[in-house]
Amino acid sequence: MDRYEIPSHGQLTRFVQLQGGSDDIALSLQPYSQLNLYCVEAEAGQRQVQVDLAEGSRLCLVLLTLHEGRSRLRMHVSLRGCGAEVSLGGAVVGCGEMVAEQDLTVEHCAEGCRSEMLFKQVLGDRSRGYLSGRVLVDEGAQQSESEQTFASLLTSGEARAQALPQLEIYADDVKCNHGATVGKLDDDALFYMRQRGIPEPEACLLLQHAFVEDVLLRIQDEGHRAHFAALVEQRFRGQQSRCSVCQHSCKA
Amino acid sequence: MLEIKNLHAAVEGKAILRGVNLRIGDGEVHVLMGPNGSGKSTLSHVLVGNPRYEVTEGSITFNGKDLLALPPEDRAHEGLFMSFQTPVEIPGVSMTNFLRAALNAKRKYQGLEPLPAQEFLRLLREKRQLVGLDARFMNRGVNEGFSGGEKKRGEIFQMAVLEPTFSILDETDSGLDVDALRTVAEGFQSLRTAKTSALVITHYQRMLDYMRPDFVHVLSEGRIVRSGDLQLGYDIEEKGFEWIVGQSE
Ligand SMILES: Nc1ncnc2c1ncn2[C@@H]1O[C@H](COP(=O)(O)OP(=O)(O)O)[C@@H](O)[C@H]1O
Ligand SMILES: [Mg+2]
Repeated sequence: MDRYEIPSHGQLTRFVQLQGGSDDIALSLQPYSQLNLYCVEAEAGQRQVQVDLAEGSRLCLVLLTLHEGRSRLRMHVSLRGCGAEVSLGGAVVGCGEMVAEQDLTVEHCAEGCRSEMLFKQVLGDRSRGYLSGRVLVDEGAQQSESEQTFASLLTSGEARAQALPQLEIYADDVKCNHGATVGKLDDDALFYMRQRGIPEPEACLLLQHAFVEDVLLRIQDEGHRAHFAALVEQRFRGQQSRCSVCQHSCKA
Repeated sequence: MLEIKNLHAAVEGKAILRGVNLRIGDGEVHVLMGPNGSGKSTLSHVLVGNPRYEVTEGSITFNGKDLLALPPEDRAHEGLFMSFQTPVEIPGVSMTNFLRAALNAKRKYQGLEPLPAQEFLRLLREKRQLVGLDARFMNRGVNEGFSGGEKKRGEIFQMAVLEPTFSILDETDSGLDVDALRTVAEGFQSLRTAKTSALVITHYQRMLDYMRPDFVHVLSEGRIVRSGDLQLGYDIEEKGFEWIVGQSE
C-alpha cells in the first residue's frame, strides 16, 4: 500500500498519470491542508483508494478515464474533521469494448463538511460505464452538505451506462441533493450546427466536449486544464475515426 | 437560383407537402404566407436538408445543382441559410466557437485558409453591431438563456457572419418588438445584393413593408394555391386566408 500525507496547512497540486496493474493508495490530509489532484487513467487498472480528511482540509480530485480495457476504481473518502471538503470530478470517455467501473463512497463523519461529486461519461461503440456513488452521513454529522451529479451520454446504440447515486443519512440537519441522467446527442442541436455548415463529426465533437466541460472546469490551473481538454479531444477524435456503429453515421 | 418542382415531403410518415412548385431568381425576395400547419416550416426544413423530413417526390435545384443530393453542411457551404422559427439552444458551445467552426468549415469548402483570429473577432464585432446584439452573448452557449427576441437577432447575426446567397427567414419577425424588428430588417436589407435571394415566412404587414418582396405566395395544405405581388400580402393581412383557401378547392 502506498501512503501519502499532506502536512497540516500544506498546499499541493499534483498531476498523476495512472499506469496499468493494481494500486492500493491511502491519502491523508492533515488539518487545513489542501490537495488538488488531477489524474489521467490512460491504462486500465484495479485501484483502491482511501482518503482521510482532517479538520478544515480540502481535496479537489479530477479523474479522466481514457483507457481501452476494463478498470475498476473503489474509493472511500472519510471526512473526519469538522469543515472538511471534498470535490470529486470525473470524466469517462469510452470506446471500443472499454468497461469502466467506479464505486465511490463519501462518508461525512464530522460536522459541517461538504462533498460534491460530478461525474460525466461519454460512451461510444460497445463501451460500458458503471457509476455508483454513495454519500453516507453519520449520526452527529450535522450541517453536512452534499451534491451528487451523474450524467451519461451514449453516442452509440450499443453502449451502456449505469449510474446509481445513493444517500444514507443518519443525521437530521443536512442538505443533500442527487441526480442522474442518461441521454444521447441532441439531434436538433446537431442539425442546427450542420445547417450552419459545421460537418457532422465536428458537430458531434463540439457537443461531446460541451458535455464534459464542467468537469474540466474543476481544474483551477489553466495549464493542466488545457492539457486535459486536449487529451479529451484526442480521445473523441480517436473514437470517431473508428466508430462503425455510431448512430450518427459520422464519416470522420 | 432555386427551383422547386412537384415537391412532396412527409414527416413521421405523414404527408405534409403535396406538390410544391416554386422558382426564385437571383436577387429576388419571395414572401410565403399561409395558415398555421400548412407546411411553411416543413418546406424550409426540407430545403436545408433536415433528416427528420423525408422527400417522397419531386426535385430541387440550386444554382444548377441537385440540392437533394447534398448533406445539410454542403447545402450551407453552397450558400443556403435558414433562420429557424425556433432556434436551438446549445449549452456549453459558445457562440464564438460555434461560428468559428461554421465559418472555417465554409472557407475550407471554398479552398480558403481559416480566418486569422484577429480578423474573425473583428468580423463578429462588426456584425454584432449591425443587428444590435450585445457582446455578452458571444461567450454564452449558443442561444442559451437568450430571450425570444435575442434568439431572432442572433439568427440574423449568424446570417450576417456567414454571408449566405439564399436565406430562409422562418417567422424571424415573431418575438421581436417594433424597434428590434426595424434593426433586424434593416440589417437584413443591408446584406442584400443583386445575387442574394430570400424566402421570407411571415404573417405581418410590417415585415412586408420592410421586405418589399417581389412575389408573395400562399401555401395551404402543402401546396401553393396563390401567387401574386406585394398587394396579395396586404390583402391577406386585411382579409385573412379564407377567401383564397376557399376558392382554391
Ligand atoms: N418535427 C415534426 N414532427 C411531427 N410533426 C411535424 C413536425 N414538423 C411539422 N409537423 C407537422 O407538419 C404539419 C405542418 O407543420 P409546419 O410545417 O410547421 O407548418 P407551418 O410552419 O406552416 O405552421 C403540422 O401538422 C405539424 O404538426
Ligand atoms: Mg412554422
